[in-house]
Amino acid sequence: MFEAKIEAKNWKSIISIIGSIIEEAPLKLTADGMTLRAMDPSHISLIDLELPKDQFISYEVGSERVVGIDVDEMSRVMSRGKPTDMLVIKVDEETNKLFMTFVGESTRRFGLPIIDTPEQSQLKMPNFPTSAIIGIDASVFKDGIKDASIVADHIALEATADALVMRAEGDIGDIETRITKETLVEFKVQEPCKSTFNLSYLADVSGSITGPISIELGMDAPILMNFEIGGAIIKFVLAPRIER
Amino acid sequence: MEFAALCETFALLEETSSRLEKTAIVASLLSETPEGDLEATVSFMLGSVFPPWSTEKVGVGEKLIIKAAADVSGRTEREIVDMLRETGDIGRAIEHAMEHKRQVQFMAHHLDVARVHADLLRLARLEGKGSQDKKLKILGGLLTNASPPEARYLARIVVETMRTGVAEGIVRDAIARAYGIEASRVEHAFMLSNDMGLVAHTAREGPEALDAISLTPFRPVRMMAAQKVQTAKEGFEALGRPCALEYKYDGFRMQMHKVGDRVEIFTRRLEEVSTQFRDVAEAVRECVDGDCILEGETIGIGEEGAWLPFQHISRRIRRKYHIEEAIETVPVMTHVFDILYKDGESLIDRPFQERRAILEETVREAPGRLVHSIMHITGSEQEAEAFFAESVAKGNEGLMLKRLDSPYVPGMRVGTMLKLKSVLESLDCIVIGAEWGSGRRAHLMGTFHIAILDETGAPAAIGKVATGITDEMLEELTRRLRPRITKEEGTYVALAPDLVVEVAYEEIQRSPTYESGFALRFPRLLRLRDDKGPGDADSIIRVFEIFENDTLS
Repeated sequence: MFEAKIEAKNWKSIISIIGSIIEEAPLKLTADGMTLRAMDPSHISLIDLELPKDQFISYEVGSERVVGIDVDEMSRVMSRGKPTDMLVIKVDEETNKLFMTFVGESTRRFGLPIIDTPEQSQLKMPNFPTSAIIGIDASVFKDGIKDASIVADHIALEATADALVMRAEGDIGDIETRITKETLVEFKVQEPCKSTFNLSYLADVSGSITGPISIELGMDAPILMNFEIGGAIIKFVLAPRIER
Repeated sequence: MEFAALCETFALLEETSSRLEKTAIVASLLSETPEGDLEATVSFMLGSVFPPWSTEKVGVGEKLIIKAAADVSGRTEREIVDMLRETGDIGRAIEHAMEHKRQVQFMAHHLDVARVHADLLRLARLEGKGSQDKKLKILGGLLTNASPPEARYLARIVVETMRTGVAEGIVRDAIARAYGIEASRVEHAFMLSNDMGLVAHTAREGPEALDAISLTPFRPVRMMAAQKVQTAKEGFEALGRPCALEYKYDGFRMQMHKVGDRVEIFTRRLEEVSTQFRDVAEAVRECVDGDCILEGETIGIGEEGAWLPFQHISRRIRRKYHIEEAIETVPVMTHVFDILYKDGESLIDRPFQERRAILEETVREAPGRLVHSIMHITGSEQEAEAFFAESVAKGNEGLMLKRLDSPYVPGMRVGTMLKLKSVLESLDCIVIGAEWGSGRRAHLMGTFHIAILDETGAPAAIGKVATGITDEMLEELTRRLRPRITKEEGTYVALAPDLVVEVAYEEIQRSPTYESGFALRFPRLLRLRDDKGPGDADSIIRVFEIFENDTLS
């Protein structure tokens, strides 16, 4: 069995961020909380999520199990939640469905089929060296991303000795955002480094983050973003573009 | 079966121009293809995801696949578009981008035929808000797992242009060869089902199973076609006396399928136009009690019941909005002339005269809306000529001549049905290129390069046409052709072969200048043929026949 209660708005923000990258995902229900790891269809990014038990108002789980969810469908259901609603998530073994019940002025129960997610099983976190760890406020990072979106579909993130530089170049012009270490939350650069990334993935993921983001960068290496949303600890990895 | 294996076969097909070799390659592919992958394999080979009878479309244009490839490869859309301009081939352009990709990916799976097919079906069925994004994701997922050659064929399948020179004829012969069945039986099954995948699948079970394939309502079959004759005498000589003469209406040919209250209407291109012609569907519902498949010609009705030329009604085909208004401003009347199916039974093998009798007893007439075609059975040339004059006087094109004992043969020009037309000789040609005009008309295309179909079904140039075109028509042609530009060289633009036009001419001549080996003397553009697809254009065989005929007489 599985039954957990959480604030609907928290679950909504979690699902929204996963849904911006991934269509289907295996949600693992363990004694310690929920975890999820999935890759986007193009296999250039991976999202890893941990939602500890203590983030739930109540949490009851039998034996550990995995339920495959259609993230798009779940997003649509969550858009029906009201800000003050509670959400009860329950696995119904009989119908092989996930029941999502909004508890507010009324009690509204949605049933979503549990799906198979064969492509997402046994994913490992990619392993890569990092040369810089930078802590940045989400709003500053998002501004850099939005500026870049005006001119290009990709962005170079560069860690210099004393700043994070976000640079984009396209047909209509170029843009550079420089954030010096004094204004950053954290700044550890072992070696200056630079990598280029698909902008839309970064824009989609960073869109709803509000707190600080910890970014790990390398030379022509993936980016790792660590942040929290709706009580969940999320790691997002995006593979770089390399000139060859 | 791995998708890579299928792509290797496509590459082999692309390398040879020999029809025999192509047939052998396809036959051996078919015998090696596992049961479950057969229908997908055949569809892909014919450059499609769905069989021709289906009204479903993949719905992905070049733009979308380019965007997906840009995302996955990290090359810019402009780089891919430049490559497309240079090669004129979306497949090569995408392959090139994938070969030189900048974007790193974490892993890749092997693609198999079933997965590709399932993904493309899913893609085709997406609609509504956010569906473009999802389509991009699915295409991205396919491309990221594809090797560069696989990406080439994926792109071509998605935009439905394979460039392997494999048309239905070759697949038919290959099925015959792979399973040891006469090509004519394979052809028959295909004509009735319009589904080569199903035919391949059924052929495996043996010739009897294949023979059992029959007409199915709501799966349109290609319409029987007529050969041209110059005089009534020639017609009688070919068909015997007496034969059935009918008005040849200058309208829109339709196949109307009805089961219970459901009526669907299909064009000659097998497109469903039930919504655009819901007045016709309503008339069929009223006039027929049981189930049937009818064929007829729908014409526009003007003031005081005058019959309007084709042009007026053709506007209704492309209508998506304000259909009610169009129904009011362009009322139509349908003349039914054949019945292919009635209450669970195929009638196509029955003689024409018997079908006509069944038609008359099945379809009640609703004057001004749905009537039987006007027919006269005679063996007299004098009567035929008078009937011809009467038909032309009413604004028709001439006469249809039908042999009384002829079966209905879908999709074929078998010579048991003839047309006698009053107007200039004309050919239906595909527009394959154009030249920008100069001066006042610099923003319009002025000269159009036209083609007919060669033996393999590929377009072969037959000349250029620059006269007979009104300013209004030039504007429409330019607007419709602009998105089909694949390549520009100076003022010349190459076009995706798609649009069909009717071109009148004085004479067909031998010519080394054009690929087809023929040229038209004094070509004149008559009109756009929106009801026809590139596959319905006239063929080299037809051109050769006219040439021979004219030279002999």
